[in-house]
Amino acid sequence: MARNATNPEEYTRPVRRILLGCLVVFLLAIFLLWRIDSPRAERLRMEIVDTIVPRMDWALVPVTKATDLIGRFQSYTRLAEQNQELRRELQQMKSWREAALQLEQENAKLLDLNRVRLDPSLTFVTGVVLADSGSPFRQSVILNVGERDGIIDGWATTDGLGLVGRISGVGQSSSRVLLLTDAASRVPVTIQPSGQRGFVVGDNRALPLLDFIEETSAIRPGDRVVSSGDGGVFPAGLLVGQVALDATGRQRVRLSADYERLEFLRVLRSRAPDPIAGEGSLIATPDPEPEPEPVEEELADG
Amino acid sequence: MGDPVSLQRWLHWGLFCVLASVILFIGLLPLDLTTTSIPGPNVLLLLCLVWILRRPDFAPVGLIAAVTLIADFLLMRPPGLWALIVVVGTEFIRTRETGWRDMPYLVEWLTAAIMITVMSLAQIIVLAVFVVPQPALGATIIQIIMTIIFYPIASALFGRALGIRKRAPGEPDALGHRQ
Repeated sequence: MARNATNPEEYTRPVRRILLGCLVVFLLAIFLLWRIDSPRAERLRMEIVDTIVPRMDWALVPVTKATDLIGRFQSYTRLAEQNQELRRELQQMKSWREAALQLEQENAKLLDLNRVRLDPSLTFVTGVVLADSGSPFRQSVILNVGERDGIIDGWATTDGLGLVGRISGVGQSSSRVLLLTDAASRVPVTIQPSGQRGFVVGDNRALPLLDFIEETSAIRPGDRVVSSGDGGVFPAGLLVGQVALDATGRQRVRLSADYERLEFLRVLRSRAPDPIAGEGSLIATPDPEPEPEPVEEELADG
Repeated sequence: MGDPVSLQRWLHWGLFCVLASVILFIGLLPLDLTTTSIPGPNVLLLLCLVWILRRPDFAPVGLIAAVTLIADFLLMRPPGLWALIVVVGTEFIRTRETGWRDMPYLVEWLTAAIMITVMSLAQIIVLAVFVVPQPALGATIIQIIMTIIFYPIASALFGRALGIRKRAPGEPDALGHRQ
């Protein structure tokens, strides 16, 4: 019996070797293609992700929710205690809300006096987090909104509290959000009271680095970090987090977004940025109908 | 006797696919989005190693290549490279399989450990040659160690629990280990 089973293998061995060679060459070719023409290969990757991940949607969301529920079950056991705590916090929040309302009115008045034109209203698309990157070296999540919802590469993503990341890779019905903590993430920011500009540079840690700052001495822990809108990638003024110092004294950002609980994310529809001449078609989208003339004429008239 | 053997083989190929999809599925679940300093083991690699060390005929090279390539695409790794390394590594084990049929468990673990280390180092070197940005060396080394530590658990889970034992195909395992 065993002899019978091995005999065909003797015959197929050379064929098998050739097929193995083809397989190795094929895999090597994929890697080389990715290295040479990364954007195209990444688009292919997004298409593959787009065909696989939304299909697991029906299982991914319930399993995630169920696991979360088990994780949070312990907190349900001390409901009464928590209720008390929440009441106390709510009391404090009410007073803060009063203060915020007054400030908002004051702010509106001041803006009116200054005749400041704010960015045209930022509308957003909300998506559910389907999956994460699945790898300990990559920080990204996959949302269930994609090209059919009008998502475009490069748009900013928040969780309502603070900036989470940007869209990098859009499929038909899913899109990938590169988190600020990913090693490939660079976001131009302004540090609030001092007005220093810099970059939030992800390095696979919970608190991303603050880099390329002119005067590091002008920044103190606790300063607000907001997106600066430099480069036209992000809308300006989105809250990113607060400055913090790590054990070695380097300046990092404590992110405002609740990274432990990313369930729903808002993808901000930014205005299509001005077309960039030359390279850069990866992020910049072609402007459908540029019409700057009427504005200029009005200005000339006035 | 030929039919049940091939049926068993097909069943095990299916089982391999199911296990691989479950591993990928669990990996993709957005449970913990915070960055951790200790990366977990590479479970898919462990599955491939356990099966290739015990029953190479149940883990054909095409299946291993397909599963690893899909994982490459899904997990944001450079596509093709890790799949290539895993294929070469498992083929290396496969060609020496006959000599290792009755090796003690410690030798099996040691073989797996050496393969894991060599494959990971190969990936680091190739990525460095092609000037691809890669994760910190420390984190990669921790992952190698974690993968090696988790091999016994994986072999119990993917091997013993599923009845994957070292045995020649179609041969009762009590009658000697030689084919």
